[in-house]
Amino acid sequence: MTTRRDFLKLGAVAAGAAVVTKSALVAADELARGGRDFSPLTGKARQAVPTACWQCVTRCAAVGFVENGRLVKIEGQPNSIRTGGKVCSKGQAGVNQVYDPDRILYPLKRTGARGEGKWQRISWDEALTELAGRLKTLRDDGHPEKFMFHYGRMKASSSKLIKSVFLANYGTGTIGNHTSICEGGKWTAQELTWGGHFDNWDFDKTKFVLNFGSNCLETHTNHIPVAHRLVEAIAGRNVPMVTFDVRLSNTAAKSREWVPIRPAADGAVALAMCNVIMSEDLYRGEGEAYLKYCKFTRDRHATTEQKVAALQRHLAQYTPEWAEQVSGVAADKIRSIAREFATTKPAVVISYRGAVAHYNGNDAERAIQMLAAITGNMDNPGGRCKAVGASWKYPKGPKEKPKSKKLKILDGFKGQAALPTHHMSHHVLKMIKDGSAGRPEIYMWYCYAPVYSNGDVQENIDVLKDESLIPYTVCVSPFYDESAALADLILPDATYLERWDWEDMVSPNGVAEYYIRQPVVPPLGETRDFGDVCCELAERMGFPLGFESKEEFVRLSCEMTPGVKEAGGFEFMKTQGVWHDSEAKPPYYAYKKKVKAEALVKDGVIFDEATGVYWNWTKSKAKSPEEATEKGYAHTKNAYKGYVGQEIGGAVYKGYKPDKVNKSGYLELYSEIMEEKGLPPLPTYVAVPEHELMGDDQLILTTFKVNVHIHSRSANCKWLTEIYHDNPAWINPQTSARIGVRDGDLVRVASEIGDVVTKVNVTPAVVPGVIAISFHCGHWEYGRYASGNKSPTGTDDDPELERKWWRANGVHPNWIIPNSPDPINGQHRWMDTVVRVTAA
Amino acid sequence: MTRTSGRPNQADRVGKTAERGNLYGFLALVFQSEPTPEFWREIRRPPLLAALSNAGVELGEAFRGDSEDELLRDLGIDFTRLFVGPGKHIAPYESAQLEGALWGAATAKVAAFIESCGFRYRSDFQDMPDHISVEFEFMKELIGREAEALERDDPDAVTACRRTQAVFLEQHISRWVPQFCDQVADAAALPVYRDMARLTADFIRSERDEAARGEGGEPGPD
Repeated sequence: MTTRRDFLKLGAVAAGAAVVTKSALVAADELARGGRDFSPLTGKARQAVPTACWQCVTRCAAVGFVENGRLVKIEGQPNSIRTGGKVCSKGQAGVNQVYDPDRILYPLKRTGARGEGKWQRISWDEALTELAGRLKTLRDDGHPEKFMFHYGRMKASSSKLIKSVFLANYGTGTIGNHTSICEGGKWTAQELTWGGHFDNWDFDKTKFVLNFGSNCLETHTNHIPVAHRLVEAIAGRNVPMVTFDVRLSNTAAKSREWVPIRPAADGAVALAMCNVIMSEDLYRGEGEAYLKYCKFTRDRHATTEQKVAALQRHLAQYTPEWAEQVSGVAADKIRSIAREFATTKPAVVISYRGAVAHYNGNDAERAIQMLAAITGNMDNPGGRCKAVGASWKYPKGPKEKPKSKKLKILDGFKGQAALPTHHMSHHVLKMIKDGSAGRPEIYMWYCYAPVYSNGDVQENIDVLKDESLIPYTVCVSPFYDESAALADLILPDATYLERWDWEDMVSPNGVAEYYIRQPVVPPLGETRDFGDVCCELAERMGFPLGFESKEEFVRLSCEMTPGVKEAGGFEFMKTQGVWHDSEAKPPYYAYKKKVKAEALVKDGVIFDEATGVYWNWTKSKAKSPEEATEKGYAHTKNAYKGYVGQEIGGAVYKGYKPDKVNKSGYLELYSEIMEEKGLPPLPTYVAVPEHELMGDDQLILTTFKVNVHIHSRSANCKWLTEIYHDNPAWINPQTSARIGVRDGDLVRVASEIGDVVTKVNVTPAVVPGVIAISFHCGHWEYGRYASGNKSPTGTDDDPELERKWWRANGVHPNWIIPNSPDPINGQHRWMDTVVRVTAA
Repeated sequence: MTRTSGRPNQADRVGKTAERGNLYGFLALVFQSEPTPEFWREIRRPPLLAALSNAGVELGEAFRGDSEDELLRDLGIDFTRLFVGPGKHIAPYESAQLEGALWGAATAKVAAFIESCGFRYRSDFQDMPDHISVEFEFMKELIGREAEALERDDPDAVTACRRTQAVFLEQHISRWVPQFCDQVADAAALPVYRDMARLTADFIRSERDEAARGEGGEPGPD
């Protein structure tokens, strides 16, 4: 009988024979790629529906999973080149948006006084009869501009259908956006330097990241596509990142080094770094070669030597020692980081609201552009690059559109901001209150929270509530928030998981991604996508748009758009969700491309000697070639729309195409546009006036966002609010000692417009002299998960309502932040408010 | 969690586990296909011949004297006659042995079991999922994971690996392999497959007994 020992002995000597094995099995991948899911209870495959997120503006392609008709889960889209299949916590919590028990499920009409909270359920027919009647009267009376439409998040096909087709055919130009409370100032600075926004950071190829005030691992305009690449760079390739921030954000925490900096001093440090780079000749090489495409002097024909001399002259005042006084960052630290940035190739400089949402934000961003330019880290692999997004074609509706009219209430008071190219939405209600530029009779808002999202909350409430200022208010929203409470009519919108769209957000890898959003589940209750409602309103008012629904608009777009059409059009997109051209390459160095000779001799194209720009005058507001020539490119309205190319040293290059302003094709760091407005043409540092006047007992209030919330549209998501529902204010131990409070104490934070009471979190993770309060919290409406308050139409059928264990819902800082613009671009100054903090 | 003083024997335990895995790998090759020159060259090495002999496998004179070509030809003929056909043969598949048909319910269960353990069949694998050599290879892989767990001192993983092996032995291998081997031993023309079949049957019975002994218990010293 063979023993166990004999078997094992045989096993020992059989090792050699056993390795020649031709195996049948391999270990399965540890984690399977997404796109499939199974019920843990029944094992049944769930239906996977490709769609797109809408929690934040990043709008990642995603997949919704449906079981027995209910959306149960959201995952990343594994075929997305933007996200690589990743999705964030906010995206996953989209499920909560659909099934929020406080959702509005049918049209509501106010019955009591405005804001009293008394509502009557009405039918869609009643709602649209009333609204179309009012709208048509204004239009027929020749005053379409008295219909103001104000949107918060409206992008891609929703924007084209609602704004470019419906509102354009209605005839109102009184259309408000929200960009100035977001990052509009950054965009303006980019328009002044390299034309259309925005900057994309090539983390895939970079070797060094210099960060001024961006918290992109937690929140960003292109969050997941950017963040997962940065994580890969840091964790996979050991790419160092240095972060300047007043607060130890999670992005700062993941950096090699967090450099604490005083508020509004980023521009000073960036200029001092430019000083180091220019005075130590670190610009030589890539930076020097790049100067050819830059404008640093009034004379566009300046030689490289002249440009270098002009820069050195301008920067001489901004020494590291000077910047140390302004920023609190040691001069030696500024020098060493500047040297490392300039000598590591390629390196990328990144920036966001920490640097930009200030009085001096415009020039902080221009100085940061300059840092990238003089080191040759612009539009190069691994540098700061022009973003690339999808270019959809879409049906434009009726050919003949009325000439639109608008109320001049979008850009603030005259002289408040020199170049508000993204408007001043935070001043719209102030302008309405003032009345000198006229007032709308109908104020409608869509995916927007005018009360909560702007500064000076009390004033927003007062204006919206006052029927003598705005006779009729209409809210388009799936939810009953603080603004909806002040509407006369609420049109219950579908959530993004119940509607159609095509999407176009930019790709960090420089290859455009085309993707769609489709309903994962049908709209709940009587809710309707506002795109569909616009089609019906237009029909009722007698100007049909030529398509009957958003779905049809998306289908037609898929069939018109090159690439998507050939891939299989609408049917392909419905099953696959995403498409990109697999042959496409990132457009590095696109500015160096020469313009074809035939493009320069086309009808209407003329040369402007002053700027060196070839442009097509027929696309501008000029009435004749003579007028265009006489006024010149720089001074003809909308001349930038006809930009063809930039002459540099005898050749004509594509250069940096302008947008919104008549910039030349150079990367303009010397801006004649600013000079003509009486502003310094080269990037310059100015202190924040209120900060100069601060007393010892005052602090600067800074604001921030966290990784599990979007600004103001996620507090109703129970999964997110369970994680983050309270926001004690951060202060440094030095500050708390000075004020005489301890961790957990209540404090009163008072600004010139009001005060709030909150708890303090005493932590060295914020610089002395600053109090940091996050957004997201402090709702007093928006349903039970956000505020504890049930909406007028709330139901009790969510079993998890009983499991809501938290009571606190934090404070909202906007009660004490005045609506105040960057004087150049109109950007809301979220990080500048001076406050007095005392024990409460 | 109680642990016996197995620590000094750690290397020994890892070694024994690997040996057991090797034997499964070896037997998988015996039944996988007609003998390949490389495999039988390995077998002709004296230490392996001795160990086989010790385990009751007498390969016969042919192994010492015959030329390799002749030997492989004869073995190939016996393998084909026993396991492939044409005509009456002994199909080396679980479902064929238990249900009398290929691709039966047992086949699907074997595939599901193996895939649920984090393996997949290679895309170029063209045989059926419940072939005897696949079941042996699966055991070899599970034992390999057990050895890794032992090496990193992860008793929970060791227990889990052993439990999975015991269940697979009980639900699949020991339900059909010993009887299959008995048929092969009776039908083999050459001593090679006769003795290999006997060895396999004995080993699986020993495995089943070992598993029953250790069922529900902690992995103890051998």
